[in-house]
Amino acid sequence: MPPKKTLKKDEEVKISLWKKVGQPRQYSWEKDEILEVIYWQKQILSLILGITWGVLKLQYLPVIIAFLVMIGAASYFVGFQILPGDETEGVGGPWPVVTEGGMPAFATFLLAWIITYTMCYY
Amino acid sequence: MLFIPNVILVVLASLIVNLTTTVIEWFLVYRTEDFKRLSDEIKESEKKVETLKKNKESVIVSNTSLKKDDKAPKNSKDRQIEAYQKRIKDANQQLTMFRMKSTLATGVVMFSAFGMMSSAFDGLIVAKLPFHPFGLLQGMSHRNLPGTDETDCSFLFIYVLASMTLRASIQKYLGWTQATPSMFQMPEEFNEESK
Repeated sequence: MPPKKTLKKDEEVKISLWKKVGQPRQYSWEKDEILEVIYWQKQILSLILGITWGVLKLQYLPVIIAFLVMIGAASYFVGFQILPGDETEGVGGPWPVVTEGGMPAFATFLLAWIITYTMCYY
Repeated sequence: MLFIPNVILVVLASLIVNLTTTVIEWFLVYRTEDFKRLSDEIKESEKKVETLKKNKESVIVSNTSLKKDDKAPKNSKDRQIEAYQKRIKDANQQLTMFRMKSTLATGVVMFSAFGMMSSAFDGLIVAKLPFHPFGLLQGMSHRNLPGTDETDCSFLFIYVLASMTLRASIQKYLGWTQATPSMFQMPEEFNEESK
């Protein structure tokens, strides 16, 4: 495994999160950066799931439970398998990663699901 | 004429309200030198407290002669940590006072917007829910709607959902969430006592 790129402070600011996400194991990560990526990953996934399940006319409580399980599992996968959450200081285990941005993501999912369902079938 | 469904209009209204309050907050708080100074002070003090705590822990671990039950007397590191924690507390208080004006202004905007939306959408079914809402949620989703079909959805529920997600995302995008003290943050004194 190649050594991680160590950057001067000025350079670090210039490295965008996008670039880091492209090669996550090449750079050292801060706790806040990991949580930020997790936040946006949750938002995008919630939007996609909401629209898809609205179009497919999926209904009722099991859909909400399935969403919560999927979003939690996806966050864990992104935080600890793709990003180096386990090697980053201060992340504090799986719980902060799984719950980061949970409420806004849930709101995005409900909004996308309700709007798509309403527009497609009413 | 272009037809826009009510549900989309509610989301657009929420977007406009949230963008307006963001501009107000930026103008009254985030662009000012005082705010930058206070938030920098908090960040620096937090970093210093973290470093001091780490140093303190490593000293305790390496010092094997100390028994676990012994209460070590307060040394200079403890005093330094306390001083920085007091500084953080003071800066947070100043920040809260500083934000008062913008909180009032955004409150007025949100209140007026809500009044306008109520007069436009009250009593109208703007969406159909794909699930049965329960408890408190039903009070919000079926507010002032005729009939007993609980899957009928009022503007309020859509407005609250849109505001929740849009406000959080706008603030995250602008990087403002770091500077706001968390509502659910445990006070430091409590953490110390519970150890």
